Parts: sequence; structure tokens; C-alpha cells
Amino acid sequence: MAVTSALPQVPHMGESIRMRKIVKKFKTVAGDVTVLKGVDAEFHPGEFVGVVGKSGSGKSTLVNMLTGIDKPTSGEVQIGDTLVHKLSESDRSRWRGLNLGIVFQFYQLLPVLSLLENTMLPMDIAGKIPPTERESRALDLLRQVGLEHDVHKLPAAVSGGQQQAAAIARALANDPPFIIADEPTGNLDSRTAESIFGIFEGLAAQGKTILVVTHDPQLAQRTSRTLLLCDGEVIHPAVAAALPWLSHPQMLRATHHSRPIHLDAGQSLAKTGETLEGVFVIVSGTLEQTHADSGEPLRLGANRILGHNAFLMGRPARAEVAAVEPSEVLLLDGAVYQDLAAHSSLRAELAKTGEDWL
Amino acid sequence: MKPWQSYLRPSWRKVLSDLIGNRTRTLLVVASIAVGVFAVGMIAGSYYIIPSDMNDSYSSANPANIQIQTRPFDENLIRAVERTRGVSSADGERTVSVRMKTPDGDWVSLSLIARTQPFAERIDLVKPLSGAVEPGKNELILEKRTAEKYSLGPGDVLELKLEDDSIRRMKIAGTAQDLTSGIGGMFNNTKGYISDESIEWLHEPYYFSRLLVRVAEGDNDPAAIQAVADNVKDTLAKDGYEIYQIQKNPTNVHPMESILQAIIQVLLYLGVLIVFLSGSLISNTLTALLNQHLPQIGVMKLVGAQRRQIIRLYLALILSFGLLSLVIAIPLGSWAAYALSDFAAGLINFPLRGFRIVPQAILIQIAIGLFVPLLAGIWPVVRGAGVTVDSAISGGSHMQEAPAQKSLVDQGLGRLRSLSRPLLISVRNTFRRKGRLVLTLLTLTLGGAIFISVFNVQVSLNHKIEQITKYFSADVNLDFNRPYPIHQVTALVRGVDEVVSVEPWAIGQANVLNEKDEVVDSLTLLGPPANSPLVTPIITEGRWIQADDKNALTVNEAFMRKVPGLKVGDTIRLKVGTRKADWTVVGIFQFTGINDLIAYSHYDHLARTLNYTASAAAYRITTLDHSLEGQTRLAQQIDARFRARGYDINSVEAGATITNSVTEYIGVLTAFLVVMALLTASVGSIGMAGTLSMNVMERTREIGVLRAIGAYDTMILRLVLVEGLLIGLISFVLGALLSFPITHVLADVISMAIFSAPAQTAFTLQGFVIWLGVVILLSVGASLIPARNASRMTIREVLAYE
Amino acid sequence: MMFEPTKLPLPVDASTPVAALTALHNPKPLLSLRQVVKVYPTRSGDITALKGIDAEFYRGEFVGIVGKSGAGKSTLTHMISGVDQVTSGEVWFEDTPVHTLSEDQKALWRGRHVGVVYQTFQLMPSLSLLDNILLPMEFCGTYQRGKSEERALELLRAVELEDHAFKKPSAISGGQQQRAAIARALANDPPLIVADEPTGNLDTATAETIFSLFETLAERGTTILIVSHDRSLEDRVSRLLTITDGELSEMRSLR
Repeated sequence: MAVTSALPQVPHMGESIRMRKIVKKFKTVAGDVTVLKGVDAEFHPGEFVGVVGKSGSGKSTLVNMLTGIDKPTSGEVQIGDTLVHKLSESDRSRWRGLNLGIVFQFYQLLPVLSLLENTMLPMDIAGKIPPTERESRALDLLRQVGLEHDVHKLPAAVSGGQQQAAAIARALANDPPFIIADEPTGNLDSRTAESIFGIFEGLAAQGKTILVVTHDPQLAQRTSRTLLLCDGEVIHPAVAAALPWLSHPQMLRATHHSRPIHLDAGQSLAKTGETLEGVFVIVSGTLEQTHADSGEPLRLGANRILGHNAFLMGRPARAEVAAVEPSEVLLLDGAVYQDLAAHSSLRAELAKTGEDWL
Repeated sequence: MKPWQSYLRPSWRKVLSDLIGNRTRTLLVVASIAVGVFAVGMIAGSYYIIPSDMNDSYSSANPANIQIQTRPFDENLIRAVERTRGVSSADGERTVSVRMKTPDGDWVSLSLIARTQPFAERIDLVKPLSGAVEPGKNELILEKRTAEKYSLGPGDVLELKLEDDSIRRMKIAGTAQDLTSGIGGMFNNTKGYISDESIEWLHEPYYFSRLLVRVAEGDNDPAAIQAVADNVKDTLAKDGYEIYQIQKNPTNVHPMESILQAIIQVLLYLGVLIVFLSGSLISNTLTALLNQHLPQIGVMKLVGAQRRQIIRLYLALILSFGLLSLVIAIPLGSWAAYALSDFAAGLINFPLRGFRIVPQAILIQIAIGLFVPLLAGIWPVVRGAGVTVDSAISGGSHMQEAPAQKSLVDQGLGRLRSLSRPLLISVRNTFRRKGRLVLTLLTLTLGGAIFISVFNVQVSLNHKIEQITKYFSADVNLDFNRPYPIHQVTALVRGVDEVVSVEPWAIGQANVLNEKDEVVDSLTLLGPPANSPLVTPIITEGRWIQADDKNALTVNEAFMRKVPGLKVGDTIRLKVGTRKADWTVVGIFQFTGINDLIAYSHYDHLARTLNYTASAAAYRITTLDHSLEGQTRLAQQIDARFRARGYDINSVEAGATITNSVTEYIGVLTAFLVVMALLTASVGSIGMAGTLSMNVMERTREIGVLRAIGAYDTMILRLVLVEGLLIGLISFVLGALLSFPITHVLADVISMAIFSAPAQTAFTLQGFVIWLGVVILLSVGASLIPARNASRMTIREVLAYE
Repeated sequence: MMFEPTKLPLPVDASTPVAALTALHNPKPLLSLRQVVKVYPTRSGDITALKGIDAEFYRGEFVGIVGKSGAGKSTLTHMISGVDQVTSGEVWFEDTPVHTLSEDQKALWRGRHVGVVYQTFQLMPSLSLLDNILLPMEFCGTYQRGKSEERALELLRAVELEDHAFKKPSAISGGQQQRAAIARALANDPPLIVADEPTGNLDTATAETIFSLFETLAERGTTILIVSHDRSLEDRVSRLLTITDGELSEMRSLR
């Protein structure tokens, strides 16, 4: 048994999760498979983040790196002051019991324990909550998720939605700062899924950091931000937001062929008559475009595209674009963008970008 | 030729890969079946081999049908008996008691048996082993066990001390095996054979004391033998010979057969029990196997398999398990049957006909090896084959045997509020798969109960022996060939250091007479002093003899068999010496169950009847040191002391020798039982290991969940351990309880077989403690290994559900 | 590795140039569902997964059915492939009333007429790929020593797995396993393939090859029914249906 002093400290509310260059390879008989290809991500207190992507995109693996359920092949996972990947399996379990509430797709309640006992189990294991308070705390939590009338039932005697609610109560048992849920609504009908998300929203409002893996785009919209994964890489959120009609691999390709441009307030991005290198996507800040014909400038914020028409038609820019405030813009490689546009059957959608004056 | 011309059908390949693919499981199932099949093979084999070889060797030895002890006679009587109607041949036997010097320099008594017939034709043939077949004059043939015990062989010369203390040197001409005296030989197995020409050379008068007769016809028919015996009695009566003792035996039944058969029968019952236990084990394992295979069954149904095709497939798999176990268990069982028979042959002193296959035993093994697994597997297979594709494949959530209601056990346990949740999990998991738990508990409980019982039976039998030795409590038995005055002998014995007390005993042979005063049987009369501390009788009816008794007897239980309906208060007419009188039976005591008639009177009365006046031929001595070594040392001192003064000594023996040989005999018996105990224990162990590892494997996912919510290594190990220990301890408690009735039954059956009397059941902690240790070790081992593997799996693997 | 399914062993009507077109001239549907209702009793009350589905599918159609998790997609495939029993309503496969068949009859019918492909491949783990493909033939009584092995090898060649014929499923990648599963679905040359999220566990490039394989099959007259929550399937199918809370609606049709 490792010495207790080696155990990680409980992070205070307000600590963040940092993932740096996470690579995960699985050895299979058919050869190595790289499921995560150098993912960087940060999650902050009070954030309700949706981790989105198709099956096989690596989202579950990414979450497993966070929970310490699995170790990265390379890269660092830091939660508060703890380097999760450096802990031994057993210490990680202990750490997890105190700091993370995990919710699984298949609920994973222990079938032999009642809902109340399931909720008390993590308290018994971690020993953080004094024994005398455990039952009343568990009852409290179950009331919060609307199960006050079923506390003595066994999991098999309640519906899937109720089991998942109980699983959330269990995840909250030791009052962890982080809640991580892997497809928590994958097995539930849409109304139940709504209510589960409602619980999460409430928890985020209390200042907990919540990460939800889902492949349901509608539910993902209820989160405060999403992390979109494709084939083991993070798609730039601005790309995903600005070019929603692209398929995920296409978005990823766009992400690969882009570079960020930092603009100070007043700094110019494009000038009339200039031939564009590619297409711009506003990541943050505000840009102002001034058309040569109309004097009234138009301001654009995050996730807007600039230069689509000019670039695709191969004509020079027809407007001046400059930053109003310090801003960040993504420049998508022209050739790649052209190719993506050609392969997207929904070119018509692009016509809607009438506010793109370039 | 295409590579698949010799290719198996795919479904057969599945059977094959299921066999090879999961070796641990295959091993577990095959071992479960093989244990039962092995046990049955071993027992059934020896059940056939032992009695058949024993009786064969006995009947081939030309055994005496009638044996009569009478007063000394010569060849004239032998000729007269030979001429008697119905007699085929007759011979006289004389036993000369001498003492021989062992290679270690000790003096031990040696019985030299002389006959008139040439060895090759003699009644009670001895089987020549080495050297000469027939002893020449002044030579001897040494019996196998004596030769083996002292490592003597042909060519060795023995130094013998005769009755008159003169020394003779006799050459060993050869060795031979006694085929007929059976287990009786255990009590006096230092013996050799001499020619009748050597009797006088050993300073003994030429006469015979035992008459051996073979009948001409009906030598296997007790009635025919009885008829000839009556004729022989007439012949003897005509010449004025009175009969001390008479025994009648058919040719085809070894005298020990019934006892041995009874013991093997007990083993056979145990064997059946083991088969039953292994059956429940197999059923457990196969149920788990079918559960694991449900998804595969779903897939097969998905691609078109019908129920009967799936049933056929899995029955084929089960039969393959059976065949594999037969491959292991048949040779092992045959070998063990032979080893067990050899063991028994050594014990009873008969030669085996050599290793052989017993077809009946193998047929039984094949039947059991194939039938029992099929029987155990048919229900899980039929049920498994009925699974719907949907539930088998989409599996997971609604497939689990998750209880929706708490069982009664759980409700009961739920009231124990103080149990922490992790402990609750262990406790509830223990009772989760009730069918499996019941079968496991059944196996372990019965296995444990039998294991514990065997130890108890051993103690009970020892207890029995101890009781028997209470009739022989003397440390040294001093027997003269004629009576000597008590005060002389007592004074001399007391002169030896460490002697505590001396008792004179009156011992004599007597005849039982019928209403017409004809001799019908003979008995041994023992006359210790009334209230002798050296006899502690077990009185089953009536009372022990008292000082004021006249013509009163306490008789052994053999009388009950000879005279059915005999009860306390009845009279028996006896001829003691020359006096005929009615004796009253005042009590019945329990002895070893031998068929010889033994009765106790007290010294004063018996001595008067035998015309001893203040003298006795037998003295029983107690000493300070009760060990065999101490007794032997004192016996030698006493022997030397009396011989030096010219006393006519018959024998001086250490008391413990009797007990020792009986204990040895019982030890051999319990060795048989321990083999059975180990077999049942191993069935139990396999069952326990199997169940626990199946439990843990099925709980792999839950272990992952526990890890995910913070359970560290030691906690998970503890969870699994508690579950294993709980099962182990429940089975131990049940087994310990069950061992009480089983001990009673087993001890009684065996005791009836050996002693013809029910056992005095005794219990020993030993069996309980050893079994507890075994159970704890097993529980820990069988749950720790899979638990380690389970906790080593990363949670990702465990929770990978899709 | 880009995969081109060109060498598929052809069904009987392989001579038909574009089998899909025959569907237009063949008014008789291959499969029809009439008022199919499926109710799952659970401890917390009944759940109606399918609320009276009516649908007809024709030879050579490449049908996509999309819907969210819990919408009843998988239940629908179970009703079609007969792995589960309808609560009420009828499922007709040509002239066979599937809903009336016994479990065993359904197994045999399915083995001969429907190839089922699951998201999780569902290959027999203890058997080689070749044996996996032979198994349906054996169970349905179409196995002939030698000939069947030849056919199984051809199927494996068609999905470019002939080099792996004697490997166990665990020794190959997920995409390869799914191709083997498709080869197995084709073992008895069924007129209908039902696939439930066939690419759900595969990366984008591999999913692509699986789709091309289905396209080829559809072109040659096999009816393909794919159920998925992935809307990118929309572009590839000839007919698209959506299922929402147990009700089916036509989105786009070839007809």
C-alpha cells in the first residue's frame, strides 16, 4: 500500500483541468491504433462542457484519461495540483473517489444494493463524510434527483432514467468538484434525457465542473461549450461553429489547414483589392468590415466567416477588414477550403453568409 | 486435394475450440468429472479384484475344511480320520514354540509348524517363494512376512533357543507364503515350516495337536462339511479324543472375505457419494459456461441455428469433457484399484494375480463419465438453447440476473444496519446466485463432513481398540506349561525392579455340551481374580463376575451368535477338565467380535474346578513402564529369571504387542478411509475453487465500477475475500454439523464389519481443524487469484460495454 | 487502404444489369410491415417502442432509417429480422408471415433469407473467419463439404480478407471484423441485409469502405436496410426514412 502522504490533496473549488498533448495508443493484434493524437484541452470551474464526436472519435477515451480510468501513452493530465497519470492504479482509485463523480451510460449501479445503499457506498469507501451523516446526506442527494420515494428499491425495480438519476446522486456522494458523464443519456428517451441534463445544469450553476460525453447534438447544445472530436483530434470550435455543414473529417481537415492570426485593436486583416490567401473564421473579438460602396461598416463577432465569396470566385477583396478590439482569427488554407466546398453538397447554405462583404 | 477435404464441419470446430480455447475451464470441468470417475474406478476395480484374488488364492491352497484341536495324537489317528466317510485327506499339525535370534540380536518367539504330508500336496498349501520347496531334516522354510521383517532368506542360519534353553542352529532352506491363515496371522506372524522329522531334534516329543481335514465332496457346501465334521467327531470319540475346538470353512471363501467386502462396500457408498458431488460440481460449471455462451448462442440463432442444433452442439461439448476425463480417470482408476488391492493383499497375505484391467469397472466408469455430465448439463443446455437472439445479443442491461426484490436473506441482512455498504455487497453477492451457492455448499458440506468423519471414525476405532485392550491390561503376560505355586512365582516376580503387581490367572479350555452330553463346541475359560484391575469389561447385559459366584460365567458376544436367544440367567452345560456341570450366564460382555467363545469366571472358582491348589499356570504382571520397550525389557528379565530356576515357561510377552498389532490393522483400514476423505475433499476443493473464480469473473464489471467510484486495491480484495470466506465458513459449519451423523453411520458400519459390534463413536478436533484450515486456504486462494486478475484489469476494459 | 468491392460472388440474378431498377417494375414488395407495434413491459410500466409501423421494401433498395437513440431503430430491425416477436401487427417476407413463425422456424428462415449485421460485429470469437462464414450454411442445411468452403473463401476474397481466412476475429481490426460479418451475412445469399449501426464502431475511412460494399450489393439486387443515428448516411442511400418515438416517416424515396 502506498503511503498516505503520497495521496493527492483534495482540490479546492475553482481548480481547473488541464490536458496537454495527450496521445493514446492501443495495442491490438492487428497493430497499434492511435485513438488520441495529441489532444490539448482545458476545463474551468462552473463550465458545463459537452464532449462531442461520432463513435470511435476518441471521446470516451479522452474522458477515461481524465477520470484516470486509463493512462495516456504520452502527455499530461493535471487536475488541480494532481498529475493524474502519475498516480498508481490504487491511489488513482482513492483520488477519484474523492474528486470525481462519474456517471456511466449503463448506470452501473450495484445490483445488490438499494438506491440509498448505492449512494452511500462511495462515502463508505472514501471515508470523507462522517459515518453519522452518510445516510441523511444520501437521502438529501436522492431527493435532489427526485428519487425520495424509491430510496429502498433495488436498481432493477426502477426505470432506466431513475437508475441514472440515482447514479448521479451516487456521483455526488463525496461532493466532488468534477462530474464526468459518459453518454449519460444514451439509453434514455428524450424526455428523460432532458431532465438528466437539467440536473447537470443545476450542478454547473453551483460551480462544479461538468463534462458530458454525448453524440446527441441537440443535447450538446445545452452545454456551455463543446469539445468536438474526430478521429482522435479536437476540431477547432470556431471551425465547427462557422462551418456546421461540413462532416467531422472535413472539419478536422479544415482545422489542420488553418493558422491563427492575432489582431490588436485597429489592426487590419484585409484591404480592398488584395488577393486572399484563404478564408477567415473569427475565433474571438470583433472585426469591422467597411465596404468600398456603402459607407456604413458592419461588425462581426466570433464564429463568422469572412472572405468566402471573394476566395471562391477568385477575385480580390472588396472591403476593408480590421479588428475593433484585440481579436483572434483563423485563416483556413485556400486550396483545402476550395476542395471542402466542392465536396459539400450543401453549397447553397454558404449563400446565407450574405454578411460576408469581402 | 483442397485443404478442407479433411476438414471438420464448422460446428465441430466450435466444439473443439471451446475445448481448447478455455483451458482453465476445460481443466476444471474435466477434473470435476474425473475425480468421481476415478474414485468409482478405483473402488469398483478393487471390489472385483480383492475378493476374487483372495478367494482364488485361498481355494488354490487346498485349505482345510475342518480344523480340530484335541489332545496329542499320532499318525494312527490321522490314518483313522482319513478312512472316515467323506474325508478326502487329513493331516496332523504340530506347532513347536522356540525363540529365534534376530539379526539385531534380539530373541523373539518363533512358531515352527510341522506336518506329515509332503509340501506339494499338503492341506493349507504354502506358496514357495525362494529356495527349496520342502524343508529337509533340521531345516526350515521361513514364512514370507517373517523373512521380510527380519530380511532373512535361503542360506541364512537361525540360532534357536529351545524350551529347555538349549541352542539349535537351523538353516533356512527357503521362504514361502502362508495363503490360508489370513488376518489371524497378524497376531502371530513370526513363523516357519519344518518337516515332522525335525520335531524331536528340537527336543520335543513327537505328536500332533491339531487335526486338518479336507472333505471329498461338497467342499464349498457348509452342510456337507458339517456332515463330514460329524463323522470325524465320531472317529475321534471312538478313540477317546475330546475336541477342544473345531472350525469349519468352505474352500471357496477366504475366512476374511466378508469383513473385507463390508469395508469395500463402505468405500463403494462413498464412491457413489463422490460421483454425486462431482455431478453437482459439473452442473455448476456447465451452468456458468452456458451463461457465458449465451451471446454466442444468440449469434448462432441469428445466422439460422435451430434449438436442437444448439443443444446437439453443447451436448457434444459435454460428452467431449466426459471423454477427456475418461482418458485420465480410467488408467488412473485401474492403477489405483490395483494399488489398493495390493495394499489389501499385503495386509491379508495373499498374492494378487497381477495387474489387470477390470472390464466391469471400466464399463461403470464409462457410464458414469458420460452419463453424469450429460445429466448435469442437460438442463442448463436446454435452457441456454432457448434464449432469444434479442436478449442474448443486446445482452447487458436487461439480461442481467439483477434481482428486483430483496430476497429473504437480504432482508434479514438488511436489518444489520451496522454493516457497511462494502460488506453488504459481499454478503449479498454471496447469496446472489442461489442455485450455484446451494450446489457449492452441498459439495463442500458433504466433502467436509466426510473428511471430518473419517478422522472421527479413526478415533472411534482406536477407542474401540482401547476398550478391547482393557481385557489385556497387563504389562507382561507370563505363561507356564504347568501350574506353579502362587507364592513362589509372586516372590520371584516381585524380585524384579519396577514390577508393581502380580496376579495369578486360571486359564483353561472347556467343551460346550448339548442335552445328551455330546461335545458341540469349545471355549476358553479365563479366570482372573475377582475384581482384578486388569480387566475393564464392557458389559452389554447382566453383570461382571463376583467373588462369591459359583459356576457363573460372563460370556462374550460370540455366544449370542452360537446360541441365538441366549440371555442372562440361562445355563450352559460345560465340561471343564473332567467335570461336567451347568454354568449360569450372569452377564454378556462385548469383545472384539471374533467368533471364538470366551467366558470369564473368577480365579478361585476356576482354579478349584481345574484342580489347582494355590497355584496357577498364568500370571499377569503390571509394571511402572507401560511402553512396549519397557514391557519387553522386563519380560526378558522375568524370562531369564524363571528359566535360570528351571521353570517350564510357555511364553513371556509384553502386553502392548497385542494392542500394537491391532492398532496397526486398524491404521491400515483408516488409511483406506483417508484416501476416500482426500478424494471427497478434492471434489469439494475443485468445487469451491470453481465457484469462487466463476463468481469473481462474473463480477469483473462490478469491480470496475467500484474502482471507478474510489475503491482501492485492498478494499476490492477484501470484498472478494469476505465473499469467499463466507461461503467457505458456511460450508464448514454445515459440514461440521453433518459430520456427527455421518461419523455415527460410518463408524457403525465399519465396526460391524470388523468387530460385529456397533462402534462407540468418538470425536476428535483434528478433523475439524484440518478441514477448517483447508477451507480457509481454499477460500482465500480461490478468490484471491481471480480477484487479483480482476483488479489488474483497467476499468476501461471492464466497462467497455459496447 | 482503399477498398473496392468488385469481386463479390454474385447472387443468382447477377445477370440483371441494374437490379435496383427491377424493383420499379416489380410491384410485389420483398418485405412489408403492417401496423407493427412493439411494447416492452418493464417494471416501471410498459414502453411502446413501435407505434404501428407500416412500410414496404423492394428488391434492390438501399434504405436508410435514421433516428435518435431510443427512437425505436433497433427494435424495428429486430422485428424485421425476426429476432424478437411483434406485440401486434404483421411482418411479411414475400409470402412468408414472419410474425407467425416459431423461434426455430424464424431462425431457419432468417438464416436463409436475411443477413444481419450488427454494430458490434457479433462474430463467433472461437471460430476462424472461414468457419464463421460456414456456420450459417451448416445451420441452414446448405453446407456442402468443399463447395461451401470455396464459396466462403470467395466471399472473404470479395471483402479482401482472404489472407485472414484462418484467423480468429480477435486477431483482426474492427473494420475487418465488420467486413467479415458482412461476408457472413451473405453466406446463404440472402435477398435482404439488415444492418444496425454497422459503422458505429468504425473510424471514418473504414466506415466508407463498408458503405461502398453495401452500395455494390444493392446495385446487384440485394435489399439493404441500414439503421443509424448518423445522418451522413443520408447521402448514400436510395431511400431515407426517419423514426421518431416509434413512428416511421418517409423522407426521400427512389420511387
